[in-house]
Amino acid sequence: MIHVDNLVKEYKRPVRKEGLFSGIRTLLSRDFAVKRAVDGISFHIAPGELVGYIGPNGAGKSTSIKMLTGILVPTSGRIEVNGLAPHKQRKEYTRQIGVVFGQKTQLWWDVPVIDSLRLLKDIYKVSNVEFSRNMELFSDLLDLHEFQHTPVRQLSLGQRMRADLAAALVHTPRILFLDEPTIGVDVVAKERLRNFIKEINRERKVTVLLTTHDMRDIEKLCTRMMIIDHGQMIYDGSVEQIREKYGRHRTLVVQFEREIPEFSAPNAECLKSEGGKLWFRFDRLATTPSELIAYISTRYPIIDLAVEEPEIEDMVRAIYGGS
Amino acid sequence: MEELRIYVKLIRISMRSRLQYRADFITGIISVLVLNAVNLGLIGILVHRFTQLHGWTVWDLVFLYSMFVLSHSLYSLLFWHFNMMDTYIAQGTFDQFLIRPISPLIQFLGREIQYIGIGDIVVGVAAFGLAYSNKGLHWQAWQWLFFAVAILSGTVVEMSIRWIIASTAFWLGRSLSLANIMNRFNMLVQQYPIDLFGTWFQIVVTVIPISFLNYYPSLVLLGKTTDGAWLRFLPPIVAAVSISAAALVWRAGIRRYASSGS
Repeated sequence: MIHVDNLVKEYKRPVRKEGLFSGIRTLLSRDFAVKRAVDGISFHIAPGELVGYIGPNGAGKSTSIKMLTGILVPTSGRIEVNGLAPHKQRKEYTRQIGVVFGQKTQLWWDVPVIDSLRLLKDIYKVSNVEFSRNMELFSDLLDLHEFQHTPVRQLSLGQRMRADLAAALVHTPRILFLDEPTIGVDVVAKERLRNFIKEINRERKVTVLLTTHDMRDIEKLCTRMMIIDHGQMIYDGSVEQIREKYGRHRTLVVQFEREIPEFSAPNAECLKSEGGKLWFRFDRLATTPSELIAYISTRYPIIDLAVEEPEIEDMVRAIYGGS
Repeated sequence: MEELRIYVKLIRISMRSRLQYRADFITGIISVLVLNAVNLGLIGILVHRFTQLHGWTVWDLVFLYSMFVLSHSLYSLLFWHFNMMDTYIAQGTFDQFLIRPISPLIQFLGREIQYIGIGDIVVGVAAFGLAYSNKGLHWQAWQWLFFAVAILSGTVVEMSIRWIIASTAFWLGRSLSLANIMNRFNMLVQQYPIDLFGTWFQIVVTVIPISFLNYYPSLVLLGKTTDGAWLRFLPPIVAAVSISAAALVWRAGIRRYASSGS
């Protein structure tokens, strides 16, 4: 469905001059600094996939999304989505995709949500049947009917994001690009947005590519994730795999009867101790929790224990750091 | 035609947005009426002192003024929004026009119409009516036709100039200073016959064809020129050239935007 080969995007920025008439001289100068925002990225996304696209700020995520949506023209490389080149066949292409930029609404600010949706219906020439079917879906899953007659400027951020999602789906696109769709939204509203995205992906077989800084979005939604840093792909694979590769460490939390001094166990180091509670970090390939528990229980009586899985966020941080 | 239909719908939405701020709507129109009354009052005082300005009587000048305002009113009603384009480019909100299956221009212009253009229309029609009756004009059909063509051509000319200025924001990021310079030229050309300011000024406002909004058509309609025959055909030609040039600059600008972001 989405084929990206060796995609490159370079920005040319004039080098800023110092001193007298610096503004004018910068304008007229031919000195450019070239920045590679996206530096040779390749990937394929199959129909119906739900892929998370993550990376630190300035890594090239937004630039990639802008090229995929046809807003920006690649410096080199190839993008083909559903057989079309996004920026070349813009009119045809935009009919097949839905786009949400979490930071900027695409709705008309001062009019009720439903007016924006009706206008989009006309723009995309959506039939009445299709439109009312979609509206029904939006009501069921997004509770759109609760605020569809409210002007956008009076909506909460969560509602606005729901309205934006609806707006991106009015024409039943086959591919959905979501650039930070959960940004700034509270936990409850986030959950609801996630459920909706998941539902759309599962029931309608919409292919979804989403960027986010919230790893819970990835955990809850995506089976596959791509990590980009400094314009290059540093990871592309399943969320499971990343757990195996970078999440080998577990933490065993043990509650003892009384306060005891810190000690280490074979293949496990004690991270901290607090009121009779000790945290042991271990590599699950080197030892197992049961071995560890057996060892510890011979030394002090244990009241309670738990094994903590690493947060995916920590793993991703490890990957960023390692690249 | 499909795009035009969408444009009308876009405008309808923007009107509805506007009308949510009713007080702003009404004060806007009143302010335009006052502004134009002051302008015309000043001309009146000036010419009252001297009876003539470079061979133009007070009603000649009111006529000149009315032609400008009529052309300008249609421009400001429909195309004033070009002045906002650099903001869209600087903030990256221009992106939204590139992800829909209709032309970015239609989507952009459909964002807003400037209702204060209605005030300009009122002033323009009134000033024209006064000048026409006070000068005792009795036009034949061709003159009315020329008048209409000249007004529409003037609208297209001003729209094209503003379109080009707006498009420079694709390269420069901002176009406000250019727009402000243009406002200055507008004010001079609107109120005075351009030959008053000497040859150089006349050349400038002929090359940047803002004088085709009122000066050249007025020469024909007020019989101020003997070799006016060819001037009759000039306004639509100038309009066509201007809008073609603007469309080219715009297309280059969009290409530039697509390759650079903002």
